[in-house]
Amino acid sequence: MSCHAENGDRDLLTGTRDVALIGCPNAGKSSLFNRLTGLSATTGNYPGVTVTRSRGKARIDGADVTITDLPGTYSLSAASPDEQVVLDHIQGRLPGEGEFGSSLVVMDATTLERSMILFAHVFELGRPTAVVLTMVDELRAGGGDIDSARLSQALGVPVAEVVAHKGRGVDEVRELLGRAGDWPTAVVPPPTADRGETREWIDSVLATSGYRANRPNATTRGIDRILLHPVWGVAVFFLVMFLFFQTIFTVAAPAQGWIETLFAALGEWAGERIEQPLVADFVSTALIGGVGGVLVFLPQIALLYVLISILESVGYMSRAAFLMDRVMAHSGLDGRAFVAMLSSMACAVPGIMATRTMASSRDRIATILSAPLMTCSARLPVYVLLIAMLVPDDARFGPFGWQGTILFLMYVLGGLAALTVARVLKATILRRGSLPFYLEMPPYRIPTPRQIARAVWAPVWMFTRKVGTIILAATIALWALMSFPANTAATEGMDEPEASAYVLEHSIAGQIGHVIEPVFAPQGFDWRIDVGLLGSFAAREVFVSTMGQVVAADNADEPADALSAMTYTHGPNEGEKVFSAPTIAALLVFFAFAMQCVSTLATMRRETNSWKWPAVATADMFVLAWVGSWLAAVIVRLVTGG
Amino acid sequence: MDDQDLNAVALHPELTQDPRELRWVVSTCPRDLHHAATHPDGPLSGLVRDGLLSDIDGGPGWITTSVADPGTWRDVVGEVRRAVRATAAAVQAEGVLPVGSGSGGGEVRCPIPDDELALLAASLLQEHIAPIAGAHGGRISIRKVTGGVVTVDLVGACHGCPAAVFTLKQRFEAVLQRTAPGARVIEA
Ligand SMILES: Nc1nc2c(ncn2[C@@H]2O[C@H](COP(=O)(O)OP(=O)(O)O)[C@@H](O)[C@H]2O)c(=O)[nH]1
Ligand SMILES: [Mg+2]
Repeated sequence: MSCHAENGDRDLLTGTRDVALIGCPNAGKSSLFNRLTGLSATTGNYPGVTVTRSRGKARIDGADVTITDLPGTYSLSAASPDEQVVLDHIQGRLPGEGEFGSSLVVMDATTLERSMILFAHVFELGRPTAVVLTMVDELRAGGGDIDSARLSQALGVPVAEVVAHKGRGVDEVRELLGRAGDWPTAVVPPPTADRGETREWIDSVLATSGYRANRPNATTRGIDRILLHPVWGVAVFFLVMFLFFQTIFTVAAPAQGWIETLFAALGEWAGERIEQPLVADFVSTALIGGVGGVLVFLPQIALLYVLISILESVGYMSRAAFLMDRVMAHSGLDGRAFVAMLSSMACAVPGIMATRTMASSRDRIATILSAPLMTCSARLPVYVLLIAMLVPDDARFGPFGWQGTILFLMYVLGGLAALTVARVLKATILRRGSLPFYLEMPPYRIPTPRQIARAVWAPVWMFTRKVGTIILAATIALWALMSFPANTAATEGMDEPEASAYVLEHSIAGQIGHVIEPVFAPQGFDWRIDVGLLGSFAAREVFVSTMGQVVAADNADEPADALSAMTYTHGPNEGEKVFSAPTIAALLVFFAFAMQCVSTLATMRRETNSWKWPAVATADMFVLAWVGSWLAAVIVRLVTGG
Repeated sequence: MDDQDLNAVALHPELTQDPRELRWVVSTCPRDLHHAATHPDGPLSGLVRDGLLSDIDGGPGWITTSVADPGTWRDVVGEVRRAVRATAAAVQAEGVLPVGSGSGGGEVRCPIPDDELALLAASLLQEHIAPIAGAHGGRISIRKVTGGVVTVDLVGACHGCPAAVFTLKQRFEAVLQRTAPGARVIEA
């Protein structure tokens, strides 16, 4: 803040240039925010998508207006952490900020009555206020109507109509924003103290504005008759998921093949040109075998996000929460927790953030601790690599592939584990504290291609960036640890694969691997897998890049083939294959359960305001991972007679 | 509709050109509120005597109140709201009558006498319908109001064009019913 901003000046500045979007959940605030600022705040067709504040600038008549997108709220008395964000913002309690400027109340025209109470409270705050009516397309299509000029007169503030996600009417909002400082303040605040008077005020304003609510959406009701059916609904959910995981292998695999070919060509090209042996090794091992080995999973990641973004933007999340509410009751949590868990299928970080909509802090912590067990997108490359080694891609039953089926089962396993942990926590250290849960069921909405594209592009770009930063860094570190000491004297005269195997075994990483080896011996992990596991605590995908590096000297383009051929170098099983069915099963389970994500821990720490819970999560998940992977190895050994 | 609905009063204040004046819209009662609002025994007149208000007026579905000089709306709005509400409630209570005709029969909330309906219809016609008729080169006027039915004449381009007649008549009826539920519009 500038040092001149003391008195009237500041009011003028904040008053004209700082506008907060306030409205009920799912009213279209973030869609409007995106249209105004050109940014891409996450939108989705269920309440609770936005849980933090986003700020952006809209350029209007050559001047910047700061727009703040806030979480949705039904009132100005905060029950949950996301609602607290709204309060903190409008009360100017955030560090370094004074009172906020003007309020733009975003009201869903199809549920106008409910928004009116919020409007009354916001207008009462005494800041310049205006109203945006969203969903007017749905209102009119369903036989409803409103006279917004009349509404404006009745409320005493300007009213603009928009179709927020398509950008219709946004120009009018821009015009309004140009004079945000001059929006009316409440001369006569709406009656909020007496419920009866509030009711009468709302009825009168709506009647005078010729408001007619739309008919309930018949399509939505029809679809919901199936999707909310206790049996059919659940069946459809699992069927859709099952079919989806089939496509991960069938649809994404060809695209993966192209990227692999590209990297192989790059490797060849580089190999011919680079003279210096150490640099050549770095390029072919760390960059192509390691980082490239992770990047090839881009198609799978993209596909996963297509699914997630469709689920979120169509309006399925609320249905899933409703369906799962009964199942969740066994875990002591409610359907809202399931939304957080389903969001964790993308990544545990947004999943943990989604718990901000939960009012009970015990439920919230139980969900935060169990959400990281849901299968996130970082596990996907590891699973795909391991499953490809476990069963051949032509293994089928009927029309279905076994690979996709096992992947589906891994997701089920993650879900069951999350529910079980939640149940145990709720029965022990986090007993009681449940509050009634209320989650609105929006009508189904067809997302615009732009929404889907944005929802897929953002995480795909994040993944690419992650590969270019943390995964690259970890891979380089591991490459160094695996390449030194170089042992040039000892390897003289050996052929290349033999020499690199010798260097690896005697490298710093190799020695560390040997030290850890006894810890995971019961699971059948050898020292090279242990090095990979160690790396995976920086990011799960680093396991893939490390394994790629281990076998780069043999076969950099098809790491799975080379890994399948890898044998134990010593011990009782010397000469036998490392990646046998029991080992792979153990690894899959280990990755399903272990906490191997620094960002998740940091988010847990921030959201719970203590190191205690991240520590608890790391410990319980490690125990679960170790015991679970050991059991998996034992069981598969029994079944396969190995 | 049950009793409670019939006695429900819904009202909200609107700002006017004059910052000291508020226009209370009583959306549940389209009847002329002038008499009740300015009646010397009424609650609003009491507020004038107490020095809270300086002026009161009323018309079909509305009451205006002006705050007396030193006061501000924030201080007195609660009391004025209650007084306006009581006035409107009294008029509505006296107006609840069983009606035999009309769709569905039964009772309608605050039925409006024909002379008041005529006034209301005329002002709504002027405000909402005449401009549209004009834009189509036509004219619409009220011939008579009897038993809650407004009979209109359609002249000019509107005449003989079934679609236009239909929409104009329908629009008028919809606008009218917003404030006078049960009222009907027919063509002469
Ligand atoms: N039909 C229609 N859908 C809209 C409109 N505005 C937003 N949506 C959709 O409503 C859902 C909620 O929007 P979002 O911006 O996330 O709401 P927020 O929770 O208020 O931020 C999304 O699926 C949007 O695509 C609108 O004006 N009309
Ligand atoms: Mg939002």
